[in-house]
Amino acid sequence: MNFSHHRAVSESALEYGRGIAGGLIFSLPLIYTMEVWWAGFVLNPSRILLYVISTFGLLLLYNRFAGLRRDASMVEVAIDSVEEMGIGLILAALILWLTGQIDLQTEILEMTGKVVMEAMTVAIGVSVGSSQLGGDDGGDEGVSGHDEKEESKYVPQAAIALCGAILFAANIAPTEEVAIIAMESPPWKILLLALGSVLAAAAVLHYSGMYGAERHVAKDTLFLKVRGLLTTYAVALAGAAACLHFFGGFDGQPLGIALSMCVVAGVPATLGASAGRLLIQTSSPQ
Amino acid sequence: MKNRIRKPADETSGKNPLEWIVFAVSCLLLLATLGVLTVEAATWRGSPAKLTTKLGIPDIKDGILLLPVEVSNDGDRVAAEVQIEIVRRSGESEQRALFTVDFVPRHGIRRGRISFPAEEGQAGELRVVSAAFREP
Repeated sequence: MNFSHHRAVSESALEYGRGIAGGLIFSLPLIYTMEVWWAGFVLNPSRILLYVISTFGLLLLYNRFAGLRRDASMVEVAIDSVEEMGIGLILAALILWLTGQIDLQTEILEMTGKVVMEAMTVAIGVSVGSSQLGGDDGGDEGVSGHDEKEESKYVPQAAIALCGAILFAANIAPTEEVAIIAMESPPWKILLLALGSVLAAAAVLHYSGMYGAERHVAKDTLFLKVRGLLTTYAVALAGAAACLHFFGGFDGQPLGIALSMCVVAGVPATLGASAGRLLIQTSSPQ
Repeated sequence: MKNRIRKPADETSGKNPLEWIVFAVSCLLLLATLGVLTVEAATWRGSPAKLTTKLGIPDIKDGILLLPVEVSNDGDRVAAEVQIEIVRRSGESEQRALFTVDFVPRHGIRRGRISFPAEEGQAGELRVVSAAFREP
């Protein structure tokens, strides 16, 4: 099998260390959230299985578009994603054990559910951390990298925005507060939340001068600006809805409340799809 | 993992032993996880929570009776806000206590202890009189 790279063991160890740091940084709030522990044994096992498969797909997207060199094959991308999920499972199990949420007496089904529900976000954090917490990246820029023609590619940017949205929304979606806000807020406030989210995305992408916005945000014409903004919010809502579904947030809720919950969880998701999207892309010097 | 310090592909390209070990362990963990979840999903029938309460051997010390309690759930759904009511009869007196746990997971077990005052030094008759829970 041909690989596009070769590294010394010490270099690999450093990168795994960065990945572990990223996994902890990005997922720590989730690890300390009891609703996530509960989701591991409350949810239908089929949904947990689908959550694992979806996370793997998300890692493939992120690794394909935001980290690897153009000469990296899909096999290498898949191997990277498997490694990140493995590290995520080990980290999640270790922290759940240290915090007393699992032990040797815990039933295997309960333990698997708890570890998996935590590990998937840890795995995304590992992926982002290993690509973003390093110094010299050796010119490894992924397909969203330097080439001017490639930089503003619509689908890769939408994919990375989805990763950012889920990374941010996953920390909020499992909590009961989302349903409480959605149930207690009048419709005009929900509408204001949606409007505020879109305005925040516009500010971040077009007026903040945030690092990476020049390279990764298409804004040559008004059409491109509007398309980018609408896509960002649509992706954020989709990411928020996915997180709410996987953590059982929609279960038993009427359609109106479920939509309001999407808007509520969509606030952090929009920040993830805009600011987060710029932060989690390889930031090599211009 | 990505963002590696890479060299151009040539005859030296390839994973080092550490990378292969991490990949192998990750494969094993992921396959085991998928295996457990697949079996669980395939055998899941959605049957309601079915609670069984076992009372352990009571221990009396310094006029306090300590009773181990174990609640297991043989159903496919979780039981939430579980309340087990236990009655102790000793002579003419009757005492009641509630054993409460947040959740008993599907095919899971929760354990704890309840205490009764027992100055007379005997356990008396101990039995479960009710079990209530919510389906989340």
